[in-house]
Amino acid sequence: MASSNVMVIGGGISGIEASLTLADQGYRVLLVEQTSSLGGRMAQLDKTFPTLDCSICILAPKMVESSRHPNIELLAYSEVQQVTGIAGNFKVKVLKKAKYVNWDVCTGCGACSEKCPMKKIPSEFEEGMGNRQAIYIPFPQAVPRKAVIDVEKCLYLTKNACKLCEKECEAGAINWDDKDEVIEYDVASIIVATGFDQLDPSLIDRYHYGEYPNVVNAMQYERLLSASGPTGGELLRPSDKKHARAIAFISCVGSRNEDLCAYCSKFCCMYQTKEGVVTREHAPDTTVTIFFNDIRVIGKNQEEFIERAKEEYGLKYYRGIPGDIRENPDNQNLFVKHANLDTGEVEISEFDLVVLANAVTPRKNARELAQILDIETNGVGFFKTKDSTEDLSSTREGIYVSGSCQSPDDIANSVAKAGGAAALAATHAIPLSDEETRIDLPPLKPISPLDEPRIGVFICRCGINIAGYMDVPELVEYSKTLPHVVYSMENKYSCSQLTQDIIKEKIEELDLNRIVVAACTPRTHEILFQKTIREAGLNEYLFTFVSIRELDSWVHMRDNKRATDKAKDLIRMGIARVQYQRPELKIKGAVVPEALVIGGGITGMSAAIEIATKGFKVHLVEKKDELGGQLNLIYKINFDRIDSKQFLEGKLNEFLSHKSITTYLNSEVVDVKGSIGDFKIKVKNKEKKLDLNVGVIIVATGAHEHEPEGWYHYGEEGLNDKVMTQLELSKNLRENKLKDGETLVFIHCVGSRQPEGGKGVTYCSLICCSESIRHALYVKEKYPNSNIYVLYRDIRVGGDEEQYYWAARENINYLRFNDYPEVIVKNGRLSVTVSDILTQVDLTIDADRVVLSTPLIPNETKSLGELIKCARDQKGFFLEAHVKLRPVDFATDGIYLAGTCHGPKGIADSISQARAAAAHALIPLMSGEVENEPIVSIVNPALCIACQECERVCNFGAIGVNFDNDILVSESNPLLCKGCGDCAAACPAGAIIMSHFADEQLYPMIAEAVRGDYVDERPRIVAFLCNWCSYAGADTCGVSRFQYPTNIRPIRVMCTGRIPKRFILRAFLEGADGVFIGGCHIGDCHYIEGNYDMLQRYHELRDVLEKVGINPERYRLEWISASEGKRFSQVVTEFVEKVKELGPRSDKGDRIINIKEAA
Amino acid sequence: MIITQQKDINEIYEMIKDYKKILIAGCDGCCQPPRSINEATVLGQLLELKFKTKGKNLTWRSITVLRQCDDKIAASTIRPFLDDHETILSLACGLGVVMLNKVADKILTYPAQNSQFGGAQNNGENSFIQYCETCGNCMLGMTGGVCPIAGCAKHLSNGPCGGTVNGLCEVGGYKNPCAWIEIYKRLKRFNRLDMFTLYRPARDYRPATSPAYIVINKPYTNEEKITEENK
Repeated sequence: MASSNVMVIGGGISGIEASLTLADQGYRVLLVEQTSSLGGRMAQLDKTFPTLDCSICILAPKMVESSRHPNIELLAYSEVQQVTGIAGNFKVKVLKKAKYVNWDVCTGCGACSEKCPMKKIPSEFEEGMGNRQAIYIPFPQAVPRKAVIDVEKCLYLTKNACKLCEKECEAGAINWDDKDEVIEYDVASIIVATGFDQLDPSLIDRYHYGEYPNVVNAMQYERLLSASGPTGGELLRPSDKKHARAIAFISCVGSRNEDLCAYCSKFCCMYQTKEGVVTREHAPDTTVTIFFNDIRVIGKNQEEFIERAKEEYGLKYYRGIPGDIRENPDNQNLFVKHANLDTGEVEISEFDLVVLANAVTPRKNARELAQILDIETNGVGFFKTKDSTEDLSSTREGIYVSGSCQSPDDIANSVAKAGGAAALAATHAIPLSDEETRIDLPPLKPISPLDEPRIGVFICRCGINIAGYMDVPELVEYSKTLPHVVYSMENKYSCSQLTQDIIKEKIEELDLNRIVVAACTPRTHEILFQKTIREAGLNEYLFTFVSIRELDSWVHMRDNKRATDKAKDLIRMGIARVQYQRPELKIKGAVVPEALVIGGGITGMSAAIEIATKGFKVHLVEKKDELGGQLNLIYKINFDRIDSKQFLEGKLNEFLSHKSITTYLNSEVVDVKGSIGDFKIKVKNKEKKLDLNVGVIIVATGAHEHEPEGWYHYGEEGLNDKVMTQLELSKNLRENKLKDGETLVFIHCVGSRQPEGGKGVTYCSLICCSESIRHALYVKEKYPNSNIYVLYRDIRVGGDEEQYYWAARENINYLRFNDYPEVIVKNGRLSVTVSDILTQVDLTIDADRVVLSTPLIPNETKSLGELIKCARDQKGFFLEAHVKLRPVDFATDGIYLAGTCHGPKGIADSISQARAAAAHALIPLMSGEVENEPIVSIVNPALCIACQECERVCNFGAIGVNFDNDILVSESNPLLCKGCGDCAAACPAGAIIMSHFADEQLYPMIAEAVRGDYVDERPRIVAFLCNWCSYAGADTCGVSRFQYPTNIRPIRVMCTGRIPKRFILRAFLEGADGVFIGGCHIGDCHYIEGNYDMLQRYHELRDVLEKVGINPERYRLEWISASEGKRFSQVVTEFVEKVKELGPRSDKGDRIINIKEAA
Repeated sequence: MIITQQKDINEIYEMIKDYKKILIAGCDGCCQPPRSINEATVLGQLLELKFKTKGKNLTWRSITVLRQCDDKIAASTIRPFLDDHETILSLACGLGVVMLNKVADKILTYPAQNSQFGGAQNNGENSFIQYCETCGNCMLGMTGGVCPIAGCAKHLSNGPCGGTVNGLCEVGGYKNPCAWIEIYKRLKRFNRLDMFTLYRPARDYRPATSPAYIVINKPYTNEEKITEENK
């Protein structure tokens, strides 16, 4: 009998993601991590590219979630020793290493570490840049936050002396008798997500790593940048702890090197750019120079990020890897010898600090682990998969690989792979029964609105992130003076397990019925605290999150006094709000156990197969008359030259063998109604319309090769077999249409990587370089006398594809260009002129054929996007919920995306994403139930006047007069309601309550926002910010440390549509000098058009404000997106200046207006 | 429904500037666009700001009335607030203003709105159109449901006149449809062109004489009751 257990080896982001997906689907997960905390590499990073999210901030909630998920058993500080048995019935022996600390009683307070005399042990987490003790917790946000004793360094365990920690530990957690322990588990399948190591750069002597103190590796640099790192986020170089002002980054240190790492490490170019941008944000007077071979981007929006780095942040890029680094003995600066291709000279430049992008390597123990697991490794030491179309299945059935242990991969891909691996691993296991998964939460404390509020306030120091810029103890004292506050305390890290335990304890001890946490941002951490208070028997909605980091300490770093004053206001606003919050219960709905997959390419088929394997009915809708999509056009796949036809046939056979899949060819989805769990779909083909009812939707509409009209005579008469795209070449190759001895010129980036508004698209299509190399090699092999010239901008291939690139370069002429080549047609012959950068000469090549690499263009997404109400980016690709951590989810629940409709990608990645999307779609299908947040509108039928205003503003058909009823009043569908609150603002009768964002909760905030009695805090500005764009933009602004004046007091609403005129007028009446409203850009509204309703109200009110003595300049509506942190600070600064100029608002009205009246 | 437009805030201020405590009454009846309690609140907030610019304090309260034009409803809703307020500002149509003045006759009620016309709502266009002029002598039964009194610029009982070109009316520069062409189309569609050719005599406007006054379900007087009993 198969087990419900799935083992995940590795607690980095990939392992965490796989574990959470499996656990949510209802399997038991054994998560094995060799260190004492989850987090892996991502926990060490400062930021993530290309959005510059704070890495630990978005990871920490996931770490905490996996440590507290009822279906996940965390085996930290453990290693897999032996695996026997077969898929479905593995027996795994796990070594639980002796920790010498009893984790059941350890509180993670850290007192033991402070007293430990062994203070100079280089910390692994800090990459040797900082120290740890012999008894230690690896990093502040560690999960679980428990200490372990380093058996090799501990004085007592090595020399039988000391035992100071035992004396210090008040919990009595030290256990000297702890022994290694081996436990055997039955598991059905195994996911290996052990991640990567990095090459020791000292192997390359010319860079003198380890010898010159100011040469550091990239991970060390991440730690230097990190606010929680060894220098507290100050960019101090190791030799003299002085600010580094000129920094060089060197790419490909060991990567793309035949002797060391014969592959491309893929993500270094991106993280270098990220580190450069973050450096410039830290200290704008720093110069950043990046030395590179080819700039390689590996995902969506990354090309644009590099362009921004060059233009906006002024990063300098030099092509060519430096040959040598020498130290200046006087000041330990570094002389870097490098080529300058602009001048053609070799130059020597001086830098304060050099950062090496050292190669990503397999884990040091990868081979041993491979032996234990009986799986193979590939030529370069990463875990091997079946072939190049498969990223997830190892060479042994039932064992799957995910993340960078298979091939170097960035976070987004690792997350997608993790989801895919989870889908595959689940096929061997049986889900836990309802009995086994029941969560026993304590009963909810009954709270009546009449009960006196008893508020507990927890204020986070966030290490120094908050405490370094404001007086946290003063905030604690202040909050104690506020009404209904029963308890107030500060925490070093409120997100730590320790604080969670304290919160629970205090709720119990002091009978608290409302909790306020003042810390980072609700966008990442609200759920964590909500879960905590629920575990203490308090309803999740009796909680308010006050952001004093992103909205305060990080944006007012130079004015501690005012930052503290602002924090007092923010906390007071939170306390005013929380009193009026009410317990809310989640809304539940049943899930129709069927799925809809839109798109019948390889991605759609793969997703359908995974869902069907689990026994659910799948409807697959394909626009064309055949399945397989782009695969039908390709000849050979990837460098292992899998025949596309055969591959597709195999997939089709598997697909067709699933009787629970119904395929609708020549069909289109024409209507989508409903919400997660219960979508009503209309599918139309030529003959008929069909109604479907499904629980989830997977979008896999794909992309196609761009036909480059207007480029190089493409499509002109008589030139069809002379100027062609790569796919057309592929067709010619299949049909053997080429002749030997021809001259072929390949031109790359035709229509891709174009400037904004140029002839083509701005993005890099990612897969064309390897397609071109593949074709070039194939042509040369089949037609050995051909001459091939490849004209390129950068060659972007990842991983071991690099070796094929080298092979190609042996017999094929690669010429790099800056200016696009010219193609002239003369007497039916083609002649290509290109200016070669290396030799600086113009070359003219007489060509028989010109082959153009053109970008992948998303298939039409607009109409489907409108139907499923999901966002698309400017390029027409669908927009995932989060670039890094939710690559296959839409922001709308129950709808998932995969493949090239998300962004350009290859077959293996598309299949991985398809499986991940399926895995996520299976969560509601398998649990049979969905929950909606109770942030929904509620209609009071007694007040409703059936005017239908709510129906007019609702973009989700969630509210409106129900004409089937006898009494005509509005009704709201809580499963459809997205919680924007537009209807509550539009309702003239006050009949609609937006739960959790109700008037009674927001009015007190508006009032308190202007009530602080700090004299110099004028002008005082109330800011209403929409959760998704402007509040997120304010967060981005905070994370990026863009400074702005302290004068604004933000109030978060879900959508600007939630803001009625009465809120704005109330703010002015309470004494605000200005009112600022920030929403999503028109067209970007998370609720489709909520911002239009705000715009309308804005204009109506603006017209009348002047007449009641308010200069309309005091009232501002701005569209600021989540990524526009910089703009947020600029706009706020400018608005504050403007309002300052107008002076404090007096009741008499603005002077400007008085002058007007006098005239 | 009665279509209204809010007066300019300065005009409203001028009317009520000498009061210190005002009651602002919305109307949940047929007043369109809807002027319920939230509209009343916004007006109150604006007035408070306006008063402050003149160095005065205004105390106000917003309420809403199910239908201000019904004396019983209006009286019962307003009554609890009368002692605390010096005046009422009505967000209903003129009927509401008159009625509040009647039922709360100790204080004055002022209009915050201009009543425009009796109109119908087109939800799709968010527009209100005057389809009926309450002329008191309905001829819609002869005109296929299109009113020539409200629809024809010349209020013709027999049309169309010579001022129609391509179905558009000369009044207003050929922008509005000719009501009589519309009537013709409707009647033709229902095969009732016989009604189109009917001669309609000059209209009797007497029922619409102001002030109009109609009594329905008039209670029996005592004398009438005795007469009835004796029958």
